[in-house]
Amino acid sequence: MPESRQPVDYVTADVGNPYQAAPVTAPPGAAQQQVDQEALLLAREGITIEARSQFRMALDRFLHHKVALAGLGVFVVFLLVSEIGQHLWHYKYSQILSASQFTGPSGPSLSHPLGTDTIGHDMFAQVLSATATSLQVAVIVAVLSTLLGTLIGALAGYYGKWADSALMRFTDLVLVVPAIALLLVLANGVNSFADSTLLLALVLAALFWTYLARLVRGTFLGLREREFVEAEWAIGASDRRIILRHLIPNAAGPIVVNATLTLGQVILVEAALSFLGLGVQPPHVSLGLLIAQGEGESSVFPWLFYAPAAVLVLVILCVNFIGDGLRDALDPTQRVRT
Amino acid sequence: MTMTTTLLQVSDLSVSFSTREGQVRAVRNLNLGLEPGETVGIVGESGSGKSTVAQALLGLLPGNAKTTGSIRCKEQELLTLSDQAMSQIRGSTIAYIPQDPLSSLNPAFTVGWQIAEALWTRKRGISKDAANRRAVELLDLVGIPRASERASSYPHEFSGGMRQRVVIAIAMANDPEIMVADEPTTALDVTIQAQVLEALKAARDETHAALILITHDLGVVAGMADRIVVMYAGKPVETAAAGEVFYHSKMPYTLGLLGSLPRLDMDRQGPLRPIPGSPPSLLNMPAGCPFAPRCPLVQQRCLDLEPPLETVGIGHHAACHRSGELASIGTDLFQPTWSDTGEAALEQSLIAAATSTADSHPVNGEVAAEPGKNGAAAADGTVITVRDLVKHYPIRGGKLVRHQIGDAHAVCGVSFDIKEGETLGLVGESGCGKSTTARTVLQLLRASGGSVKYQGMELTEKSRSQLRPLRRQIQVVFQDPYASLDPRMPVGDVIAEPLRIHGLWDRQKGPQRVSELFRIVGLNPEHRNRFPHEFSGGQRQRVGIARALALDPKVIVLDEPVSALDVSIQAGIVNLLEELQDRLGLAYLFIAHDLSVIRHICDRVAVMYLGKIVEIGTKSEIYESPSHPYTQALLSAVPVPDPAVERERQRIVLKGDPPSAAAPPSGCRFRTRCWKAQAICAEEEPPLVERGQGHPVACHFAEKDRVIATAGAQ
Repeated sequence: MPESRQPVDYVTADVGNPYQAAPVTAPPGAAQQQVDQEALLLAREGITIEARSQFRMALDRFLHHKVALAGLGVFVVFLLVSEIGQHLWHYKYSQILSASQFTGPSGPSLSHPLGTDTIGHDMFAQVLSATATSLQVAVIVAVLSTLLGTLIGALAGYYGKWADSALMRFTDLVLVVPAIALLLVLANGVNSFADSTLLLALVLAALFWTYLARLVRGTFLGLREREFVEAEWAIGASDRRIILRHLIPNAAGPIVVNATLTLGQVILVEAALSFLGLGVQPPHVSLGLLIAQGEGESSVFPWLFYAPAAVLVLVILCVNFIGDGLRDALDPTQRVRT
Repeated sequence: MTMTTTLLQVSDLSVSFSTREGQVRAVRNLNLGLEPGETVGIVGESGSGKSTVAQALLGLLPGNAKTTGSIRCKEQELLTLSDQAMSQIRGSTIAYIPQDPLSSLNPAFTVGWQIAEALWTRKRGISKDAANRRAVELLDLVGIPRASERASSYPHEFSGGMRQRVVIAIAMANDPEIMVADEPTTALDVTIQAQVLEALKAARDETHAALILITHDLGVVAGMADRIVVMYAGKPVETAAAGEVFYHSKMPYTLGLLGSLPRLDMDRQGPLRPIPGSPPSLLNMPAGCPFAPRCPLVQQRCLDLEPPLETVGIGHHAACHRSGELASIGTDLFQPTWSDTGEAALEQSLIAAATSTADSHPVNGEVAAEPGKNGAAAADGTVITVRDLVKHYPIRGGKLVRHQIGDAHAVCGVSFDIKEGETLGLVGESGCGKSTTARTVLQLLRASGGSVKYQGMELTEKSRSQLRPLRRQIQVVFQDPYASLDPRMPVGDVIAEPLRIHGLWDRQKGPQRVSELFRIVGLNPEHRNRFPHEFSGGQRQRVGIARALALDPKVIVLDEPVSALDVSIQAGIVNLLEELQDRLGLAYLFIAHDLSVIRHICDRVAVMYLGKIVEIGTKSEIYESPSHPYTQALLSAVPVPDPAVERERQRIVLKGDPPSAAAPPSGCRFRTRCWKAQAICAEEEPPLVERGQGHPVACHFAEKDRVIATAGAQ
């Protein structure tokens, strides 16, 4: 039996402190009175405290991140304008101007805000369509590869041992598959534009997750050894809960940064593939394709290169700002920039 | 003591760092004189600026530091010296003994070479042979066995304590006049600490150097220092001869520190007396006395005007407006509270809340009913039964293909019981297997052999899903309050986690229960949306305790719950744990290396060495009649914060380091360091049995020896 301890009279214990508000004397006992007292304390502070979820708090912090919000705004504008605008604009991206309207490539004018290209396409229509296509591919790839990479990296890093070996050897295998070869083989059976764009997105997603998987695995290997994970085991938490509620939020920084980098990278890789004839094919257009075509003529017809290039730079910039904001929002130790 | 003999005179030294957040005033108005051969202890908690003083003395401050005042060494001003000129003084006149011996030795060179290097960079023309010979001498002097052989070893081949002794040897290589030791024993076990302190004394005696000993451990300065400087919030708040500080302190902070320490040499004197609150941030400090928010004697003038360091006796200075009144009050100044104060109003409500609701919560009743079903073994009140527990770790190696080449025996046949409402202390040095034992009891690690029973139910054979309901009964609090809370989760959610996982969360009662848990551990429920990094270490540990309490457990395993905290904070946590035990009838398995804390809180104590329990008994049996040589050595090595006691004590200083758990010695595992060892010890392992001492001891030559004189009541 434990020895008896000297009882201490806490109530009379003098903890008074002159620059704290006078103690609210609590009549001990009744639960109702306690509730009143708590309300009183809260009223004195002039605030009501309610438990907020992690998600709510992250959202609040994101909404206070002005640069990220601006980035998100511009990104959404690009997305909407390109998706809707290509149907409303009075030229279509594939439409070639008739000889009466077209007398050679012209610079920006009222009827063609971004000018026309060498064979008589309206550049504004082209850029609208290209932005839409590129964003579709990039977003699909970024989302899918992030999900896949996080999942595989998380499983490998959390379970370790043979799961780690098997998954990482598989990752190494995927890492050496060249996108060109895969596309060459798969492109044969595809005809329509929608199918070829989707195929491009899926192939890129199937190859892009490997970097993230390695990154997440490394992060998880470190996090797994932390005591808070052990504390979760001691409480009896399931592996799923530990991975989803604790480890992934703690690995959010690298994941989000990687996702935004992927988005930019995909647009560039898609440009390279399109240039080689394996991505988006004329008459369909993508930002990468337009930039590749316009690059050679940029000294003579600068608008052909700079218009799509400017859109690309802006989109990637926005995505990076959003990424910054997300990373800060998910990390409570970061002070919010206002 | 005239100015002419003063070796080092620090006058009005202030150091501030410019950071992005503003000016951090790390040291303010420090005055310190050092006479030849004198030892001055600088004592303070983390963040008190004591390490900055060391850096300033050695001219090692980083670039963003701004220094004012003066440091004169032998009539030479050091602050204005160029780095090159300062290099001449460092090592030859002032030597430095840093805290972390691992990073201060170069892993690429032998220790002998590194000591010799210190010699030939200062004494041009010393021959290589002479330098090497001197290096071996120095190693021998600081107590490295077989010094001539070990001089050609690399730092990684040395243990932490031996590395620290090598660093001391380097510091004394050029017969310095001043040695500055910054927390030289902080990361070390007590028996190793005793060795290093012996080495430090040997170095002091050999060089006749003055020593500035910077530490947070009042026990260490009690035994070593002639004079003591107590620092708080960057400022010296009291300086006096050691005896004056310990027996006639004139500063509430010092009194608070002394009162918050559990004593190894005293039986329990009631609850500890923590200092409420936590130290102030050194950033943008308010006017007034920095200790005022935590001080029980605070008055209006303390808030308006910071008290200067004034003479209050012969050689005794204190910075307190009310130092004159302190003599009559003594250590009763602080209240034995368990709450994390700061919100006085709230504290009143805590008491009411905790007492009225803790026992009547619905979750409580539901859980309490469960073990009754198979609670046959609970008749004698035993909740945890551990028998012959074994945990081996495989050691992998091999040249081409990695395979298992051996076993590390972390825990080797440990048996103990814990009864309801009882605290069993498990004490031992690092690597003795106490944390592994805790994790195996919790089934966080699976035992390699033996049994762990909770109320008669065998835990080691249960699957993870079978264990889940039992997890509600056995909970854990970890050592490091920084690592044991998910940094991305608000503390309210951290405390709610156990309820959610066990399906006890509902929208109405859940938040209520969380608020209640906040109050039970003495935290403000309004802070539930804050994240762990917004709390101090002590408050975080309270969050960890609240999480452990959420499921109304019967047993809590406390794995070094206070060792990462400053003493003034530690006392509050210890009191809270005791309070909870009394109120909720919890059983504790309390793991610690601090024998003073164990003596304060535990009912029974088991001493572990290299995976085995060597002695187990009630608190008074272990502390008043320790019978195993290892227990005696442990108790003897702990410094006591009392200069008179400390200077009279005879120390048993153990030789060497604990052997590796991968290759334990034959027979008695302690024999390699034991002064009683004989032939039989190597051949036959002494079982843990009663040998006429009144409690089980695992030693062939067990003999009571009252190592620590129990001091009288205060």
